[in-house]
Amino acid sequence: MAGPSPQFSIVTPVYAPPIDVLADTIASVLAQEHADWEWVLVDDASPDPDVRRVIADAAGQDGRIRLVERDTNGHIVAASNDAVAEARGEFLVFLDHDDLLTPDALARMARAIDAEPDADYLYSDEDKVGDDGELFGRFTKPVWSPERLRGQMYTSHLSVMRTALVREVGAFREGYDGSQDHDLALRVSERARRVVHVPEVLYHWRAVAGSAAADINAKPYADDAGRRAVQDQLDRLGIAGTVGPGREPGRYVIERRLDPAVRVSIVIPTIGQSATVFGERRVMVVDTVRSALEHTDHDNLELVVVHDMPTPPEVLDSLREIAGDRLTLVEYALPFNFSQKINLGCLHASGERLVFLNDDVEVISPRWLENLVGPLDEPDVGLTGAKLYFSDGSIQHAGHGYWNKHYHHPFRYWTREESGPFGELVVNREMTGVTAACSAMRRDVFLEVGGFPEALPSNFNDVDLCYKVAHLGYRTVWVANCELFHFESQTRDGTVSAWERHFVVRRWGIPDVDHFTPADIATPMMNPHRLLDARLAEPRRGARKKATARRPR
Amino acid sequence: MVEPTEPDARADAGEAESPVARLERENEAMRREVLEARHSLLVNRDHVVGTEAEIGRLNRDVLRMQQELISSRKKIRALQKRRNGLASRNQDLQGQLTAARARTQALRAELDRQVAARVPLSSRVARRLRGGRR
Repeated sequence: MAGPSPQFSIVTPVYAPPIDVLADTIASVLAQEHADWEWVLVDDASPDPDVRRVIADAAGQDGRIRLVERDTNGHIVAASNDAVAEARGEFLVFLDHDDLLTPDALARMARAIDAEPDADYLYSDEDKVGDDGELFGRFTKPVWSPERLRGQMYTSHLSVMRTALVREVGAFREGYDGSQDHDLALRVSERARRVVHVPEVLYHWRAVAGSAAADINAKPYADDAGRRAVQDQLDRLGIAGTVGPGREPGRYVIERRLDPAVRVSIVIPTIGQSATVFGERRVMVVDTVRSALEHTDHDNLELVVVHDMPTPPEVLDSLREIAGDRLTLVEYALPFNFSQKINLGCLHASGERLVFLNDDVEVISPRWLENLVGPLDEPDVGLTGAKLYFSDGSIQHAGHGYWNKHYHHPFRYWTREESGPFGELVVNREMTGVTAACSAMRRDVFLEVGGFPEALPSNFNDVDLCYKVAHLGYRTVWVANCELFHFESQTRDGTVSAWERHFVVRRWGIPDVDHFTPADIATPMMNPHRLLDARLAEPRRGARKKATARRPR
Repeated sequence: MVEPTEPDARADAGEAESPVARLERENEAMRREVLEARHSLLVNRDHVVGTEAEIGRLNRDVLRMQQELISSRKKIRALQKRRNGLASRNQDLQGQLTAARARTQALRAELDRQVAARVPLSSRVARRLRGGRR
């Protein structure tokens, strides 16, 4: 007769693991500090009888271990579902047959559940373990980020889910092999009352040849399954969009569709200045508007240009020519105040979606507006931002990060081709903040937060706006497939005054830890001159070594 | 409050303003007034949200300070207890020291007395030579 239900049921589908590796996995479970668990291992008809023998031996020594033997090989979904069906615990703990739990894994999860009793889904940080037992590749994860989960299966290991909820959603689905965990995470998170991130490494993912941990290309079929899983979620939630392949396997790109009835107002502050870009003289705002209109299919559009008095009339004429009756001109006669110009532009705007756009950008990605504005259809998304490049193609902005007493541009100077340590640069994701150089809000949220702070005419006004958005409970989403050049150095005076920073600190406190972009993931901002210097120095050092080697004795 | 828009030149020249023109002028004035009111409301809302945030931040600071205060008070109490214990132990040691000093003094006195009472060497040598028992 079965005893009382344990708190945790560890579930492990097993198929032909190396025996020594399986033994390590068993040892890691037996070493748990927390004792209230059971372990259901489902052998999926492994050809080597030693696999069953090893598990049976372990079960003989510890009554909490149970072996379920399948007669035929049903693959990972069938085997996992058999394990889920057998589980008696309140929470399911998903462990692969060759991976390792840290000794405190279950104890730490139990403490997190005690702290958040309505948690239905918990996930921890993870790292990888090589053949030699060396640990590497720590993935410090963000707090719960539903948009990012659409872009990649970032929650992964260690995942703990409430058993009743997993059964309620139908457990793993056939046809999603290789991404069955991603599919389950998406479906469980839709109904979870709370999703909790435990910011500690509780899982060592074994990186052996042929595993996804060692090579992201190892399971090409998984990519297709993952794409379908994400598309299914969009369809279930009524999100208008199409999921496509990302830059690398396991990453997904969402192309949003905008309801033609939704009116979008693009607000651009300008003084109508010109600058040399890519070797040619440009009237910045004219090219901004031209590129913005060229790269969108959305017609229900309004351009609100807030122009200072000195703006040359011919610039305004050019804008009229390009934008026609979609153009609204707002004259601004006061001293420079970016916040006030944007606020006034928004008050003149008629759209339900507001896009803030600097006049020194060039849109380079197709359907930029749809992708930027689309996420705002979700009621809890209050603000979206774009990916901006310097003219040399290096990253100027990939979201804000607020940590270590300052406001940062994580991943600045990385290149357009790079994906980031864990896909950060190629998937949409929740962030603490985004730049106002290209961002979007729903009108109701803009009014609710009180627009941009006019007390900050030049710097940190976007930082304050992002804080306000988060303060009122909205998500800020950075959109990786909304790309623009930002010729900031052409137009901006970078001087920052102490009082500006103090204004933000007075409201929001001193930034300490960023929960979406941990400081250890985002490479500290690097001076491009130092980068270049380092690259140039490498061959010089090599040349010196060669010269030394040839020196006659 | 927004100033009404300037009447057109015909009004300046004493010509009667048409009802449509007057309505348009009033409408424009009203539109600007509404815009200014909405702008004021927006700025005011920013101030309210910012003030709420500042209050929240100050409350968190107060809570943290209170926790630090409680923790510091506990430390003070522990240190006071330790100090009192040490003072008491110090007092005990002082008593032991005084007693030890007195004992030392007594022993010294006793030693001196014994030394003084000791038989001189010459007498002891003479006694030995005479075959007397020690």
